[in-house]
Amino acid sequence: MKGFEEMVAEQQRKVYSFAHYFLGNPQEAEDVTQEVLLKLWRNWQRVRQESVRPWLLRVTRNACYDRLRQRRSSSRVFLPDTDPEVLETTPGSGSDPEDLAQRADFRRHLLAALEILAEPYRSILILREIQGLRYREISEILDLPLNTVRVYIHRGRRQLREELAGRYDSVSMA
Amino acid sequence: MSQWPENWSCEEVWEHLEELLEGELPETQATQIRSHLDQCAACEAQTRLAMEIRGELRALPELDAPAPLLQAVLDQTVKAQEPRLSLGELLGSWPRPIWAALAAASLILVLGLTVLSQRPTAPEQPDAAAIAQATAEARFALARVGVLTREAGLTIRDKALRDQVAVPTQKGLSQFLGQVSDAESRIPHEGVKDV
Repeated sequence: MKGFEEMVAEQQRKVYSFAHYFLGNPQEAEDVTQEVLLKLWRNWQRVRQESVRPWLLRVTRNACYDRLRQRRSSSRVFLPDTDPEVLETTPGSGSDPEDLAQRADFRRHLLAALEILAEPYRSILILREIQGLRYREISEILDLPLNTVRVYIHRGRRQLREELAGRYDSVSMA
Repeated sequence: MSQWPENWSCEEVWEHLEELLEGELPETQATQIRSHLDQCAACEAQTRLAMEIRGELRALPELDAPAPLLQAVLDQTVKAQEPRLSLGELLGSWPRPIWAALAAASLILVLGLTVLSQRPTAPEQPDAAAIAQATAEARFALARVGVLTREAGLTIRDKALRDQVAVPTQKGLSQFLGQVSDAESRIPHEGVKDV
């Protein structure tokens, strides 16, 4: 049986990454991560070991969604602040400066499109495409039927494509 | 009536593009869409964009939470629960049998280390004064043995003289004189002893 410390070390990346991509802001992602991990500590005896990851991601998603609603209700202007690590292009993407710049620009706009994507599409795409979760696990986290998850993934991708189409449909990214 | 169109418009292709890329379309419909893509630049561009989005999303890195944040969480949870006792409190909280066992173990350890730390050394050479003292003591002992031996020899000699010379002489003399009774012939040894 894993201890709390070991579990935190194992799952912190999933929690922080989800919050980071959902909120588009490292500082808010840190706040959410801390809040969620402390909540896990308070519920440590009640959460079964094999359910820790879905539990954490469900709580993280809810915490992020609450923050999103708070943002909308407040007059504070939110400025997206993408982690530079996220904007780094992947290895093997080519060393041509123009190509690298084009890809970095595409990634920046993709993240911006992701951050304005409606729920639950945003959560589903983060869980599926970035975090690599299976449909069944996403279904458990979001409490949605399996087929609904599949349909929402397609819709989410299509919405992203529509958001980016005007800018990139004539640009060759091959 | 089938849900699939007979002739695919661009809009219908875009609607089902994600399913095509996921391999979730029936083969007939997938083939129809592919043939549309071969002839339609706009839909072909849409397909490339869709593939780019999928590729870029999947290439986004998962990020580690900052280490100070995780440390702060552990400080507020696991480490906050650990008892913070002084050494005295910690030792005092141990039950008596543990103390006794620790004391015994410490004693054994000290003794063991002491024994192990003693290396064999060459025998010490006595100095002249010690030799002189030992010699004098040996001489005294020998002299004493000599005195005792001489005293023992004298005692043995006196006993032999009394038993073999004095008593027979007295008996012979009494018999000769005829003046002594049988009772008087028993001369006490003490008188002879003092000679």
